Amino acid sequence: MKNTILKAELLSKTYSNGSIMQHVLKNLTIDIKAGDFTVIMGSSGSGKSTLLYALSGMDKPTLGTITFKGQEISGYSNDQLAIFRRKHCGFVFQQIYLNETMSVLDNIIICGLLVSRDKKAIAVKAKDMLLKVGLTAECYHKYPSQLSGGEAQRVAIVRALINAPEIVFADEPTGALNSTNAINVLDVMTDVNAAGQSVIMVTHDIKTARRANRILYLKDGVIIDELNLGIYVKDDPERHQILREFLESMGW
Amino acid sequence: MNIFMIAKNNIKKAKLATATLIILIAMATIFLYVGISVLSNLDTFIENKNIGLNGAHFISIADGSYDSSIDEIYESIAGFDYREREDALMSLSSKFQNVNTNEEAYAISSIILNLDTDRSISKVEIIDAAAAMPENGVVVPYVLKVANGYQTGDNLKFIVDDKSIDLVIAGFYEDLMFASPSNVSMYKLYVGDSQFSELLSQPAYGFKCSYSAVITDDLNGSEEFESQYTEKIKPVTSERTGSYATLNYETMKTGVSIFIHIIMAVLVAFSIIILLIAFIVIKFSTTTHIENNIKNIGTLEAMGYTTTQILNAILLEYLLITGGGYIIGVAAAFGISPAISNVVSSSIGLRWLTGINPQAAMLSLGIIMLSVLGISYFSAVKIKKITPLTALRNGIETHHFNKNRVPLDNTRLGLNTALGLKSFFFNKKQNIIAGIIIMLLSLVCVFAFAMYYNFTADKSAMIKLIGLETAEVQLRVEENNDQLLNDIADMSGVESTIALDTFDGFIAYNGHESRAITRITDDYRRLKVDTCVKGRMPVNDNEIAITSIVLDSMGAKIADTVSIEYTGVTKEFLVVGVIQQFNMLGKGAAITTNGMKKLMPSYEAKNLMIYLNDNQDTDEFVTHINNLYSGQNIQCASYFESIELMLDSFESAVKIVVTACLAIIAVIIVFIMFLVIRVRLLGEKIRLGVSKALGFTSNQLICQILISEMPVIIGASLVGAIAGYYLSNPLMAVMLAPNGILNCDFFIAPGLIALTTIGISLLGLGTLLIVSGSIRKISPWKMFEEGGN
Ligand SMILES: Nc1ncnc2c1ncn2[C@@H]1O[C@H](COP(=O)(O)OP(=O)(O)OP(=O)(O)O)[C@@H](O)[C@H]1O
Ligand SMILES: [Mg+2]
Repeated sequence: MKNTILKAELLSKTYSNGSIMQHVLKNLTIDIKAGDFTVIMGSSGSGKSTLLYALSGMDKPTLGTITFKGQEISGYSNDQLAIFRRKHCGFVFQQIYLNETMSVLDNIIICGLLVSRDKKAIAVKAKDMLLKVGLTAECYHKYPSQLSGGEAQRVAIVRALINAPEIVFADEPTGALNSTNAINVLDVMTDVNAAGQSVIMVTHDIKTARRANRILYLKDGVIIDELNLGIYVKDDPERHQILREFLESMGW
Repeated sequence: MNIFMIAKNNIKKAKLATATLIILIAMATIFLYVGISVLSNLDTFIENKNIGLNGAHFISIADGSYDSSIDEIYESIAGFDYREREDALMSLSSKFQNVNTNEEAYAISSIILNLDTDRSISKVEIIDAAAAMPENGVVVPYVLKVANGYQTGDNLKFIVDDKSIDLVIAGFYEDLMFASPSNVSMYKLYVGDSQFSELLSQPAYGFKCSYSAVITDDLNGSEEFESQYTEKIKPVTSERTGSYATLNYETMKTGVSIFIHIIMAVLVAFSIIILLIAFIVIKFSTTTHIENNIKNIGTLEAMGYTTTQILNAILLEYLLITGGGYIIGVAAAFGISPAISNVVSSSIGLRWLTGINPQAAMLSLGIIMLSVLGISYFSAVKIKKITPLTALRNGIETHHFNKNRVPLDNTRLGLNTALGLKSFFFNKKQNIIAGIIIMLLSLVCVFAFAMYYNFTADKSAMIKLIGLETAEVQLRVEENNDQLLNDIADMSGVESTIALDTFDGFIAYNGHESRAITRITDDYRRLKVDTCVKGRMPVNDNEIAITSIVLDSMGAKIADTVSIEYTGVTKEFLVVGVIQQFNMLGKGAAITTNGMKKLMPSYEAKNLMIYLNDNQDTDEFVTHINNLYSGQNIQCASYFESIELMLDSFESAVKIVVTACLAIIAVIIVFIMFLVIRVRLLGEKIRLGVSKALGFTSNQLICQILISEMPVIIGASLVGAIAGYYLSNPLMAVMLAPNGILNCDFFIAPGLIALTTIGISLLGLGTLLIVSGSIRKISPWKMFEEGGN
């Protein structure tokens, strides 16, 4: 039996636009196990990103609690949350968000320095990890604008992983990429998960979702159903079929 | 360490803003450091100099026949220590001309002492001494070396009326008492034994008198010593003649430092303006930095950087910039220290050496660091409130969708004008910032020009501040002689004459007493220089006008009744006006002739101010009078020339300061324009790229930039210049307020407004053309691609 790493109870998020209150998340309760590859799906505007950022301590919920390994983080101050994120979380964004003014290596080192003071060791580790995602020495000193979209996203993944976080959060990491690049990036994510790190990913792409062992379906701020797919196996037509049927039944 | 990396990256990214700030801070440092180090050291410097030379605390110059009475008076004054008396030659109508510097002969009275006399008070330590003292060698005040460029070996012609002697400068001496003609319009000169005897034997050059220097127990009691002395000498000298001059340390010290105090106050004020500009730049670049980097900030926060760390990185960035600017500034201040030494030396007339002053350096560092960090903290602290999500999602609310002020569909304007105006409205914030800075600089510019003009070209406003009459000639008679005074008034070449006496008065109010050099004349409307700033001058015999310094020291004001004591008689006077003057350290008053007669019924005017026609040569006139009335007891000398001479000694200092200010204003304007346009080009690089791709030519885009920026530059410089026109005098008055000046009347030509506006606009236009020229070089493709580095 896997341990619970992240738990949300009766989570609600409400935005107020002037006089109009918009309840984006409504009394959600979720239990994420260590080592899971969780995918959150749902139609546009259903609250996927909101849920992801609430779970990761990037945003504070309106109501409800979030606990990480038994520790309640929903009451943390902004600075405590930042320290929580640096120790336990990694982030990958659809828009990639590399710092355009820093070289590839510096983009990674700046995050590594949050946890370690040993710049040399971080650089060695960063280079090693870049190699694993298929990026060689020639890209170290390039600037983000000189990379292709896929290369940039792989750098962003290395950045997210440099401090060996227990959970990697990804909001449509392949949304801006073409299919070859997307597959590259997903392979990396799958490897990360295989190495034991939990992954929570938002996507609306079925091929991407196929990588997960657990699918949560969100509609109007409520998880209406979930699917357990088991360990990812490459080119498994049956897995694809089960997922497709699940999504169709959700009205996707 | 990691914060350091972010800060370094920020600096690297904003090279231009960094360079601008470094320059601004360096300049602010120079002015602040110089201002503080001079202001804080001046007093001790003068004091130490006086101690080093055992300078006199009090000096009196009087007729030799009173020697023993004077000694008795000294002994009777508490605090008297010892005195040294020597013979001297006093020449009231002497003129000088340095043949080597091609200057014209100028009039200033002089007192000549024997260099070979032994003396322990005010020791003569010769600077730049000639290898061997020539027979006709003369040692002159140090101020002549620094302010007038005299050198050892120069030939100095000593002229009295139509006789002259050639002297050779054999060196310079320092003495606070005779440091600068701005203080005492009299030269003290030292000649060798034989030359001294020769001069004494020729009465045409002057008369023999006793020069005595006094050391007291208390350096800071010298003013009191003088007033007691003056009080006691009055009954001794017959008809108040025979005591020619008295000088005291305190008055002289304040006197020599007034001008340098003003100059340094101007420097400190200027450094504060530069700091203000630096703050605006910091505010501006912090805001743009946060706006442009909001996604980076959001990502850093997502990765686990706390907002405090990010804020610290921004503060560290400014700390590094400030540190850099400060070091450059201090280094530059050391570099220009010879120029500073020259400005200070020439205005105080003592050899000032600008050394390293750690206290001033620390103080200016503290002031600059704290204010810069404070400003950058307050402009950046808003990021503390930004959660990573808002940063990534929305950025900060920056784009307000303003009303479309220039709708293209129904505008009559040309395309470039319309687009230029659009971006003018769009870049409102930057335009406001650039506008404020240019306005400030334009104001300072007008102020600097005004100072320059009034200190160097037309000095009448300065003369008015000093409060002396502009009469070309002054005539003193020992006994009142109406016939003689009337004869002179009728002479050809004389425009008008006015009897104007002064006496050393003591004014009392409510138990407070203050000394005031009190003027006496019949009709103050006839004076050429009006020193009244409030109320009016006295008309009736019970009225008095007093300087604000004296009024304040007694706690009196207009409509109060004060009393004057004169040789035992005390009378009351009603204060009807406030006057201002630099002269006599602002301690002055004015009553009418009839008012004086109440104090001394036998009073009769003895001093005549003579205004000459424009075509009348002053020297000729003075010589003519002295020849005409030789044998009669009169003293006639040119008067106004010596005031001009003292103003001349400020000229070089003002020139240096003003030139430096103008150069710095130009540099700042160029940098600010560079900064504003570069930030705009970076911010609008996509729009410009698209415009180019759509088919706009570079010239059209440059033209649009000009149309959107030039109104700001022209408008701001015009507003600043107009403000300068109206504010220069009040500003100057505020700076001179400690010297009792309430009102300044500097002439500022209205044309200066136009000139400043045009000058600054042209400078701005040139800079704009140069910066926006970079649009030309960039292909549309590059504009999209080019990162921020
Ligand atoms: N800061 C905010 N203020 C107000 N409303 C917000 C804010 N952020 C999100 N919302 C609203 O919350 C709802 C959910 O947004 P969310 O970004 O979570 O959707 P999503 O499921 O990720 O959609 P997509 O698939 O398009 O990314 C949307 O209707 C959005 O308009
Ligand atoms: Mg989303």
